[in-house]
Amino acid sequence: MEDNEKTDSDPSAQLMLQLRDGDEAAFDQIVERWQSPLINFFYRSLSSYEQSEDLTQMVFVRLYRAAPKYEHRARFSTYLFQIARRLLINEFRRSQRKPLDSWDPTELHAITSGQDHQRLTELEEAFEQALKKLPENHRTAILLLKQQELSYQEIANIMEASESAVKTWIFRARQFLKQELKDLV
Amino acid sequence: MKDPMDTPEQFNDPELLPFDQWLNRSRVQPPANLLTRVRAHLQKPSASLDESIDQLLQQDPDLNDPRMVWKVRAELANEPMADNSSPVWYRWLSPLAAAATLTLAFVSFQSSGPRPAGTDVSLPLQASVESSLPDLDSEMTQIIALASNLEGMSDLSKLESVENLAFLFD
Repeated sequence: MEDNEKTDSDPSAQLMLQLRDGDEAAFDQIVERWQSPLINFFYRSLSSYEQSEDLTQMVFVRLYRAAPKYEHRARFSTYLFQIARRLLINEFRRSQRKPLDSWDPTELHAITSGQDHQRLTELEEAFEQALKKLPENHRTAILLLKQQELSYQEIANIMEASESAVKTWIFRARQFLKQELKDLV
Repeated sequence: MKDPMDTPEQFNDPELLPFDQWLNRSRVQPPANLLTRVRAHLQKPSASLDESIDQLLQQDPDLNDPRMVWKVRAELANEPMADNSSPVWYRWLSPLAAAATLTLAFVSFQSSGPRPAGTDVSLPLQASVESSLPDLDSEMTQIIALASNLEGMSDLSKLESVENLAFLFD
């Protein structure tokens, strides 16, 4: 009852509580609501549609399995993107561990296949390259702020950092982007 | 005074507006069957703790070194590989060089210390070496004696030739 009162302004958290209580349809609504934000978050971080799709799927699997123990302590988006970021960092670590000579050429192809094959304008290409050059925490912070429109406090909770650290990362990221894109924008 | 960084407007500078707009546009759409795929994934029984531990302890195929067998075999055959490419006399060079260095260090040490006049300084085993190996010159005798001292040898019968010195350093 108390949980329900607190989730009035957070409908996804309410859905999660319903899922915890056995309402399977609530899960469908969560997937419907969050699949696009998640896949775009991953896509801007990884530039691979296939990997983004896999990670998005993995976030929902984790979410479903965690449902029986779910408690509404923070906003649902904080909870969701915490899972997403952990998976993303694991993915970075995994790909860094992979020796270059064991790369499968079909994987390289996958990165530029399908939706990735859309022709980018020169400007979009420059944006993408500039974003790629950012350190992971700067990029994640700016994506959560600008793409997901989350508050600094929420970003700080997701990234397990202080609010001032988040502000600094975003400030530095934007300084870097300005420098990188000054001749184009 | 309010911290300008507290306002998101601070990050809305016009210079990066095209970037922000691009970032905000959803460029990719999730696959239509994502929910079905997630559900299918969830149908699979989740791994038990034992299975998870087994997976964790499994060998990582990415760390496989296809040349490992070759490397191990090369290591096993190490001595012949190294020695085949060197002349036979080269095998004795290292122990001889070590012995010569030690001799020089020893002699230098002896000559630098206080020495009573008229004292005949010699290695403890030099006399016995000289008597048992009369064919060797004095410098070699000194080397052998020093080596014997280092190894604590009492049996000098093996030291009949320079080549035999090598076994002291095995």
